[in-house]
Amino acid sequence: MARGRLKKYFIFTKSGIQTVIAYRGRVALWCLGAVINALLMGLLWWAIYEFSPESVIGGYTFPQMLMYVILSAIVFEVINSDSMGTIVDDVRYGLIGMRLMKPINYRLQLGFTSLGSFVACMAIVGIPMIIMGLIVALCAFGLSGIVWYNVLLFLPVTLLSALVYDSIGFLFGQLAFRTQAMFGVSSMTNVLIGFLSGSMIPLAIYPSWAQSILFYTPFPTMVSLPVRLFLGQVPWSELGISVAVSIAWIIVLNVIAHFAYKGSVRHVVVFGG
Amino acid sequence: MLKELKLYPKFVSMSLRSTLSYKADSIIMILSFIVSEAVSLATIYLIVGTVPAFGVWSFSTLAFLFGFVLIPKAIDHIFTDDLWILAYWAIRHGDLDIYLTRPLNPLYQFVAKTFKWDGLGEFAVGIAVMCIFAPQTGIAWTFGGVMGLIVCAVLGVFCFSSIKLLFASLAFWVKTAGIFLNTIYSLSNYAKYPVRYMGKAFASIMFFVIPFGLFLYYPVECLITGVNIWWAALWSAIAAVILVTLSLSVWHLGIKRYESSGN
Repeated sequence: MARGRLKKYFIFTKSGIQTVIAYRGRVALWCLGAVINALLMGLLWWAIYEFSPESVIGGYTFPQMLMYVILSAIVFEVINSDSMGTIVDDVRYGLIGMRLMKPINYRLQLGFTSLGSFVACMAIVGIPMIIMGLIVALCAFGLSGIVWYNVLLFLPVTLLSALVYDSIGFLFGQLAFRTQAMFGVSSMTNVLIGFLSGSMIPLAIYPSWAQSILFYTPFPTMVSLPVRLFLGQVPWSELGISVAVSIAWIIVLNVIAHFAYKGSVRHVVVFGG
Repeated sequence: MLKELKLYPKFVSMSLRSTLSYKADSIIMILSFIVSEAVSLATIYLIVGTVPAFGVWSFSTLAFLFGFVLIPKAIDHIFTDDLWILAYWAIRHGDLDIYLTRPLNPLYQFVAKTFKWDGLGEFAVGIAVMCIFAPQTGIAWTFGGVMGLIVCAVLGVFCFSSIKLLFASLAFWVKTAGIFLNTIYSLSNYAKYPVRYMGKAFASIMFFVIPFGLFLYYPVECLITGVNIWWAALWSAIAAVILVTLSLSVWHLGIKRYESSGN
């Protein structure tokens, strides 16, 4: 019964995949921009390693750090859900009225569309770029410690990251019902998620008190966890706890978002006909 | 020119009135910029904290550099923020039609219509961070040094806005140039770090190709290393003249080939 009910939502997953395929050039360009940014961050780290008396910083050798910044940039781009953007557009252009009239759950519709975008982004752009980055890090910089099962596990863990991102996007996207300044909300959310999830710099160089607090928040599971897993730096016990934390947050965020949404739709104002 | 200058306060007052109608939105925008910059400063703190010394740079000097970079960036943001709209949507939506029919310079109209008050938050953060860290940088402050820095900041605004205009104008050819502008603009974030140590190739790009390093990083490096800051001012002036000429030429070429979209 539930399966039958959910089946119709896979249409949205398909549409998410098709949208990414249609705009594959643009998606690839955005990802390329992120990788260029990551390479510049890599240059900065190269300078830092040159000045450092130690060859290991925060548990990372330079090749590992380089792979970390490249991989984290790709993961951050691939998991970036468009749920918030869709809510903003729906509210701004009044499409939300049509959405609410249909016998379809708005949250599930956006979630399943994001799932499709994630799958397509990962397949079309993410995996090829990760392979290129890995080849460079392995051949040119002698990266070591990459194990096949960690690489395989990286994919489902990144899917969890995408779900966490999407849940946060849906929750904060609802501010579109109350404010016009969604550019500010979205850029602030992105910057904070980037900083707290370890997408700019590894969380290992954060003060230990900050690391302990962050461990129980949804953020490290979004970028730091999959990237460290890929690099072979996550012990099994930590992986189990982190995945549980991640799933717990997906549930909690969606429950909060569900109740928030009930309040938000009362603020809907649609002009025109 | 005189007409444009006379009209500018009217544009500013129009912007202010529209901003004041959405007070909460303006607060969110200011907050968003403050959060972004706080995260950026925290990132510098964490990265620099991993090494005992980063050449001639310490966290205090880098924080001072960070504050200085924010000044031209904020002023550019206040005055020319709509260039982002040019890069992303204006050409595709045919938004320039209206400006071409009025008896005023279209570029002036396009950028003057929005005065971004939230940029003042960035500006205030820049000044505050510079004032907090200036005493700890070990710079021997002189009147000439301060004047040189102010001149560099003013020239930096022209350079910053010209780079933005140059890449936003690409939209005349490719319809939406947001991705290019975004990638180039994000290079300015690296002027907050010791560009010179980040490899010769990258340093050369940052000094001579997209010269964020020249007009944002170099003035502060001069102060830290004791080089006469007026050298930085001279280089910034040369960069400003070249960039302003180049960007205006590209804009003029672009606007000539502009075709309205529509029905």
